[in-house]
Amino acid sequence: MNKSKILSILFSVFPVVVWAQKGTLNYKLIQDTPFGKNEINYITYFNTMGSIEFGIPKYKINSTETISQTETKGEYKMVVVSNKKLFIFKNLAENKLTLADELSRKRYLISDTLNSLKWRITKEHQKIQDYSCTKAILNFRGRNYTVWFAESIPLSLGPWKFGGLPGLIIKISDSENKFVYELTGIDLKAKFDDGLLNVPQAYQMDKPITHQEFMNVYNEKIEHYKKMSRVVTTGANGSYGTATVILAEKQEKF
Amino acid sequence: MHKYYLSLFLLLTQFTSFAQTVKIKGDVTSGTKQLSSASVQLKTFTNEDLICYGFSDEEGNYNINGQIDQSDKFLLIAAYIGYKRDTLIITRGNLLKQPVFQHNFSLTEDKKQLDEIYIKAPVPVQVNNDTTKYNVERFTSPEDRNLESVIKKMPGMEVNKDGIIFFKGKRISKVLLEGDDLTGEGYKAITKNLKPEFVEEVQALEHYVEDNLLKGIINSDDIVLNLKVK
Repeated sequence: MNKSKILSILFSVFPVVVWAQKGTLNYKLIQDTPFGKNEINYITYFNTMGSIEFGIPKYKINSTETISQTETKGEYKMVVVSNKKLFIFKNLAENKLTLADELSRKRYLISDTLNSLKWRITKEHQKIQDYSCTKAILNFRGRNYTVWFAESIPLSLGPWKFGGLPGLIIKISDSENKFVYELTGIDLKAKFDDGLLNVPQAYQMDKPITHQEFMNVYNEKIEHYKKMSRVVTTGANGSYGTATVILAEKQEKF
Repeated sequence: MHKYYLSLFLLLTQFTSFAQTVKIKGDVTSGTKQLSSASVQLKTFTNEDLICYGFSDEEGNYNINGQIDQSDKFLLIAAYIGYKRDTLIITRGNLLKQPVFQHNFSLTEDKKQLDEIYIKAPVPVQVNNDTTKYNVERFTSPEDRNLESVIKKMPGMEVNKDGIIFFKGKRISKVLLEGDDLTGEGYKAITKNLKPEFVEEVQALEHYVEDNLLKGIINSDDIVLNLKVK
């Protein structure tokens, strides 16, 4: 066997690797809640077929534990750990958006519309994080958002349900500054299994509900809490009080 | 009355000549490969204002349409991450010659772009001889109201009830602002009042000698903090 034959065999076995659009993005969300400012970090895995976003937990929790209690200054915080991770999966190939949301510890699988966002791109430009960005505005489900996207990064991705702009979203905030997302990292050399871009295994048995159905469940729950807060409860030692439930605002108002 | 009609007529014709709908289609490829979800944009030549945009589908085909203004030159741009962006200059006449303007893009790979875009979060702590640099942003969370609460979180730093700062267990004698000693021993005034968002870096300088000329000549065990302002 001569050298060229060996070479040709080698090339057929190991095809020349062509770079395909693939990588990870990191976003930081600062949420203004009734309990103060809350910071959540997210990681997005993407390839040409779509993207999936997960939250990054603040504390490492043992996966075998189902309920753990962490003591903070005499207060008890309950951390319920579920194997159902919250996620947002944008399937570009099938033009579908599937996500999981939480309502009083129950996780719901929801299917929503993808890229139905009506962006209005303005002529305003500003440098954010060393990228020259263009401003776009959006009214989405009860909130007005201002977004800055970088045309120099031709990825139509963004945090949460946002995306579909001719450049990567660097920063997005609503008019009340209650939800502020900012890009904290891009890695175009990240290695991960493409199988990750799918509805997670834990949700296999769940039947997705629509966004409207989820909002109906949410509003019912709120009504329920409102009723509950009017009930006066009496404790074992004769003390009494009313139950108050404080919920963080939802990003979507309807 | 006739005059009125005439002006109305002129106004209407003006409007129609202002906004004209254009349709553009084609595909985006690289060699024999079709590129899906590449962005295609139509912009004005002079200000580079975006007129309309779209993305290529799985077969690499794109289809965009929008309303153009009175400009006489336009840019059609195709971009895909990891590839060189391609720009085509189109004159108004060419763009409107046919009902659908067609252009196929063939992009070339640009490996360098991947390295350029790569963002790495700044390192939180950097040690260089007897200087330790802390990146303030990495230690700040939204509930921090003053610099002191951020310093408390930095590894190797301690702050006691009186606001006295210790670095590696040793008391810090001064806090400098960009190398200037403003407060002497009473540095609490700075650390308790300064907002962390104004400070870029906290530097702990060991063996600090105030006079640069005496540096390396006399020994010192002084530790000072230097604040680098944004």
